[in-house]
Amino acid sequence: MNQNIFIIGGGQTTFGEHWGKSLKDLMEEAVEKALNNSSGNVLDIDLVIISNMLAEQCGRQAHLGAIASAFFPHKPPAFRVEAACGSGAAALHTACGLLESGRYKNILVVGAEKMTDASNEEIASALMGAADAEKDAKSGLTFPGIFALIARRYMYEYGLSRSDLNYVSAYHHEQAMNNPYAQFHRPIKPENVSDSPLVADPLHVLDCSPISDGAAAVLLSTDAESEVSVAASQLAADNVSITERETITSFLASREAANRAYEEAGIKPSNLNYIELHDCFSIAAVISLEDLGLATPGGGVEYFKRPSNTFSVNLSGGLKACGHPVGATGIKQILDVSRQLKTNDKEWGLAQNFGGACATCGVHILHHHTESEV
Amino acid sequence: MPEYSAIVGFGSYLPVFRITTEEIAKHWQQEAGQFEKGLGVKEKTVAGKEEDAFTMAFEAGKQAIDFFKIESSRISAVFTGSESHPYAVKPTSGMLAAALECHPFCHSADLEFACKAGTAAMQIIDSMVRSGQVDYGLAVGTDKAQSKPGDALEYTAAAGATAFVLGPAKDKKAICRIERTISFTTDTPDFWRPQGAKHPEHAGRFTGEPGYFHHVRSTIKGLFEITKIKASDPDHVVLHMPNAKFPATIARELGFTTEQMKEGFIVPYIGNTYSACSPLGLTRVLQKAKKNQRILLCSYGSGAGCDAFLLTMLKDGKPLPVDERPLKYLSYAAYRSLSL
Amino acid sequence: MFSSPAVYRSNQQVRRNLQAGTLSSFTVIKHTPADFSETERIIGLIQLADGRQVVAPLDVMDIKYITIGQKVVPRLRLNVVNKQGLRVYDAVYEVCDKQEYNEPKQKTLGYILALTGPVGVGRNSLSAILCKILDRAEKVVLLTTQPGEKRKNTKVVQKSVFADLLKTKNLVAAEINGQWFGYKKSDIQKIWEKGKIPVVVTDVALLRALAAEFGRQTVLSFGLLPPGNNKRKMLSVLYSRLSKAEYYSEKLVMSYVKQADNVLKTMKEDSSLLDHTLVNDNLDNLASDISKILGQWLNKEAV
Repeated sequence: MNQNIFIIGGGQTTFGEHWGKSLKDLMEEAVEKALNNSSGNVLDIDLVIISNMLAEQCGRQAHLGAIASAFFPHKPPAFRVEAACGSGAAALHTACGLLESGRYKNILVVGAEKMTDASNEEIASALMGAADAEKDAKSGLTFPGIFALIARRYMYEYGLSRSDLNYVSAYHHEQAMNNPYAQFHRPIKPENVSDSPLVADPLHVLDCSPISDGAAAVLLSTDAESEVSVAASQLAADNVSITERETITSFLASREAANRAYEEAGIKPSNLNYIELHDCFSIAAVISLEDLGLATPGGGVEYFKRPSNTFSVNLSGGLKACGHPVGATGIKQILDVSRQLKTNDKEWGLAQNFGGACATCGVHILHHHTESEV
Repeated sequence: MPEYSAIVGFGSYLPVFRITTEEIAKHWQQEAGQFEKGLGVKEKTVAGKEEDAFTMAFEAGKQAIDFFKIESSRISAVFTGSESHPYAVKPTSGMLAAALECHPFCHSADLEFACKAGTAAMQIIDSMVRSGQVDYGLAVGTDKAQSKPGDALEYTAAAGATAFVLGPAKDKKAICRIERTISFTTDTPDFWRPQGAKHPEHAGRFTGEPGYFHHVRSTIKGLFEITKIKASDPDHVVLHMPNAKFPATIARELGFTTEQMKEGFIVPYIGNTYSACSPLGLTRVLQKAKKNQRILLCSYGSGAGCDAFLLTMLKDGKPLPVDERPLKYLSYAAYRSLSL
Repeated sequence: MFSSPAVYRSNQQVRRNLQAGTLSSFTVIKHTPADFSETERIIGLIQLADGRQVVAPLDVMDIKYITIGQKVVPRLRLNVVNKQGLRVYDAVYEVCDKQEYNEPKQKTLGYILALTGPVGVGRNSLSAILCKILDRAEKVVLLTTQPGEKRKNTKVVQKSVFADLLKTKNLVAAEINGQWFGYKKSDIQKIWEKGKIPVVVTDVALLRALAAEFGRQTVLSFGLLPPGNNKRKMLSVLYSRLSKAEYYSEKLVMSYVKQADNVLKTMKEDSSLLDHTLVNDNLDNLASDISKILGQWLNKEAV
């Protein structure tokens, strides 16, 4: 990172079923909240980047940049970035690059998704756009199906049992109880997970992140300063279809992005205090923890059974319990890490956000300048 | 121009599902014994939900090509006979020619003549080979037979496919030469299916004498006259088998023995696979017959007509690969759900 | 996805995918997306003979008949009928659900005698007697993560240790109700090297795994049933045998009896995995019956 990029404002809607709000309403609400707790002046925002995956297919709405730009009196330039469920990280990465170049000084990144207008079938079909439309979709596969194939293979390779996997979603629901923005505020017992209806064997309903509406916005600046800066922003890619991976029990793009991010920030995994990782499905949380270097291969599930006291994962409730409005998640993760670091006066945080079966993965490392430093 | 054509490769395909006469009778609360005795069929084949006349024809064609090591690009004619082509307009033969990788410059069209469309395809290919129009050609008979629930046909209407690759009789792959083939055609309303109708209709006992017996008798007698053979001459006889009774009755009348009929008599455990019926019997005979033995084949298609053939084995028959998939017996409810 | 031009292009690929392969993973999709007429589909991730991988529907009656590593063969089938009635054909892969394994993965030096049945039917007692009356028979040590297992020749192992063993690929194992049971391949090989016949005690899933690993024809499997002319009576016999044994807690006994219900059902459905099914109402008679059958089998093979 060859510029100091600070987070100078942020805000989000609650995640959930917002029958009365359109995509535009959600975006506007998140922007409003971000501006309200920002130290900067709205007219200083020189670029708006939108993160969204499904608006064209499910809402017949493209051109989201222009729509967002109209929220501001000075109509700044704006465009949208897409990388399936990793759109948030991709948008942040774009913002960091443009800030480093010096062409822009204050970029508002808005992630938003409206998923409840379309039927479940349409959404399932649309989400398959994150996989290979030609190779994967024609077999009748859905996204839960893709992660079910991954889960079964993981169980075969590492001996993970169904009852252990139950702990992941139970953990996330417990964390969400403390998050006012979360979609679910109800604790679940581990057995509830495998008792819930099967979606794609071996994954049950409670292993899967929900369909959600929501938006989150963050203001990044090289102009003004704050306690939290972006110490690393890395994006990595892999083959879209799982049929073209050498292994499906570990994601190359996660490992790549994470390793480069640790290098860029000059830290090791053991330095991390707060992590928000991409638990689109329970097995994804297990694998992501391993890919980020925070657990040994095959040992990822242990954290969710007995959380460590050296670092904390998904205190927001993760995608499972906080909700997963696809384009908004990557931005919300940044807001949560930043908030967690400031509240607890800790130094290092990481957000991992990926698209599809981790065909694109973005890892951002945030640094909080603690009291002790100052 | 070759004087004769011969079968240079053949294949067949039957689905794994079966349903017994007993199971069907039980559903309709009828006495299974009387149906088993009357029709002589103990069980029949049933196609799976994702199978149709095309997928079965593909399997049979692939077997013919792969097992006999035929260069598929040498095939430049594909004709498929069926009563259950997947489309009303879009030929099964075209889809097969592409899927089996036949030569792109290929003659092809679909045929329908009730249960004799598969043998009609053989006659067309035989002529094309003899005229020098093509080197190798593929004749397919395939059906996923439909029957009205509760109708007698339900006990026999089955599913399956056969494929014959024909080439010049002097070809070194030639297995069985077609000496002579004739056909007999009338307009006889014994069995039909109107456009758009899901199930066929039939005229009960009228399908017997004015239908099956009259046509098979006339055609075989015609073949005897033209080829100067008599009933005891062929080593193997394969007749169309709508059930076990009809072919047995006409065989007795014409002087064929059970010994001659034995190898090709497949209906008791398979049912009537319509356009693949007598061709399937032929594939069984081709695997068992010896060099120089002669085969008489006569198919019957309602509407009505017969195709009859006199064939000679040019080498000893050898067995096709055995289908090792275990058979799956269906309940009546499962059987009905598969035909939706 | 299923428009005419898309179907036309994909037809070219379909032929390339009609190859045999091995199953790397599988799932049952409970709610297929729009476009597909059935609500459920069984789909597999398959490694084809030429090294490429595909995801495709599997032709099999039930997911319980599938294991990772199984061989599959290609079939051309109807995949979907599009909104305009265009029929889209594609490769589906057939799993032989009666588990006829033709090529064993391991070089085998003999046979494995497997005693299969619900816990409490007397497999261990039987194997002890067999090893006494037959010099050639030797029991293989069973590794399990089930705490509270106190039988002889059974070693309780921590889950993490079991997981490590699984990774070394030296284990043939199966999971039942969250607990793992398995045998070390090296233990079996060692017994073969001594010129003896390894005796193993299994449930159906572990038997399947052994057959997959060593080849079906390597395993001589005996299914054991408790006496009783209906299932309730059989389960009562098991309950009383397990309780009498005194080394199981009441909780574990109940859990085993519950499992037994399933095991009996599976033994009936998967009868092709069992070479002989016998009732155990007298251990000595049973042992002599089995050794007779074994003798006949080995003599036949020797010839």
